[in-house]
Amino acid sequence: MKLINYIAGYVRILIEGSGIERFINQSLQNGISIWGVRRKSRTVITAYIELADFYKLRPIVRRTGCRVHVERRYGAPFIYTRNRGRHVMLVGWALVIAAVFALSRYVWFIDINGCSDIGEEEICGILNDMSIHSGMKRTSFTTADIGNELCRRDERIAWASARLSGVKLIIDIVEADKGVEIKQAETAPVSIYAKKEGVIESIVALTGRACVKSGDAVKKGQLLITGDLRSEGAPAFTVHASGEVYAKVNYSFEMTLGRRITGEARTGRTCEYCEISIFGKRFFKAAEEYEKYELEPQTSALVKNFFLPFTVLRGTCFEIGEIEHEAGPDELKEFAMQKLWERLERELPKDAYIISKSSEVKVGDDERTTVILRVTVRENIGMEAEIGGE
Amino acid sequence: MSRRKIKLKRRFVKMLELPEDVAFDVPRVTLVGGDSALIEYHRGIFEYSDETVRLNTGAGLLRIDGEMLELRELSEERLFICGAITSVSYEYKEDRMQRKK
Repeated sequence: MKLINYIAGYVRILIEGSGIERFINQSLQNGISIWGVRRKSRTVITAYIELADFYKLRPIVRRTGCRVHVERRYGAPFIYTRNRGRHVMLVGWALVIAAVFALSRYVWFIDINGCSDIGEEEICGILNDMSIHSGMKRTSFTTADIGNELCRRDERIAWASARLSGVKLIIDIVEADKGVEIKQAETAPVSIYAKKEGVIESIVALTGRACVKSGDAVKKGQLLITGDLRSEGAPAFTVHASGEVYAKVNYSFEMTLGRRITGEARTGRTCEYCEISIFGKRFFKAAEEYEKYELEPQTSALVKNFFLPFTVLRGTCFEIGEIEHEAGPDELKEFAMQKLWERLERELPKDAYIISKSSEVKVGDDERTTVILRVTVRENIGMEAEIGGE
Repeated sequence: MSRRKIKLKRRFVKMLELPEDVAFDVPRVTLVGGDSALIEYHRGIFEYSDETVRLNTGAGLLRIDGEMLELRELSEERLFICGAITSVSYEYKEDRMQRKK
């Protein structure tokens, strides 16, 4: 209704006089559409009426003895009147509207979804071969045909569909699953040998025949699962042996250190720091910035949970760096263990599971400390090799 | 219309289950909360001000009191009033009151 009124045009009028109620009644009886009546004062009201009905008010105004003024004008007719002389603007608007209508009849964007192994450029190339490209008319192709054609032209595409969304053509594709490739090397006849010595914990031969059992101690290079399945009097029969052989393997790492070590310790540089904690969020500010540091707060906070979770702490910040220093027996052991663990993590296989660990510290006559770390792990010790090889 | 005729008409309308407001030319007032009221089958505006609107109806003078009353939509038979409505009442003439008694 508001839109219709706007297109037709309406005005807000001010009606002044003593017979306002008569004016309203007679307007309604004469079929004049009137709305939004508001009292301004004892003899004045404002109301809205349609532009076409305004000219019908004259006899009613005369009969009721009221005075009518137009306060404000609304709607398309007045906008047209105001801009009637502005020909260039009107032509411009007309051109814009015409351009929007004209350009919306073409496809300007192509979106391709679902590409993983197949590149978008390849799909675009196929579309170009089908004469589908940006700038073509929307009516010059059928979306159903595009999907079928894409599947036909590229066997890597399992399903494809196309749809139009405004001036955008959206192509959705689903790529076909890749087939399983059987590597040539997996069919060659091999056996499985031990790559380390250990005690067999479990052996599962998927193909081939197991030559050891759980509890056997094996040496490095020993045959675990054979791919040579010949039996007496029968022709040679070899397979590609496969399976899992888990064994307990012992590792031992040793490190000897003198009294002086190069490790992380306080360098001697210090500065004051201040830390503010508000609702669990910490803000830290130190007089100097150190790459690595250790904090030693004062024994009591300056402000702690004052009405709200708000704490202020001061203390000393000690710089930590790699320096050579004389270490005590505990520090030496801790330092050595840390280095040995780092070495262990580098050398152990990723699938190894540590069953047990122990350490030993010996101090020699020359005051040098030897730290020994022993671990027992469970790991897969099988390794493929040619039948008869090591 | 005589009282007898009115009684007969009332019985007739009741029997056929016709809508009374149309049959008896009486107004229908629909109040939505205290903010708006729709009055149907009125016979014209008798008085309009910010605090009072009085309408001619088949059942007498319908009075609506309130504050900042606005006649949002008007037509020959319908009127939609917006504002802070405090009361809706009928003002009857003295002889009519006596007749009712």
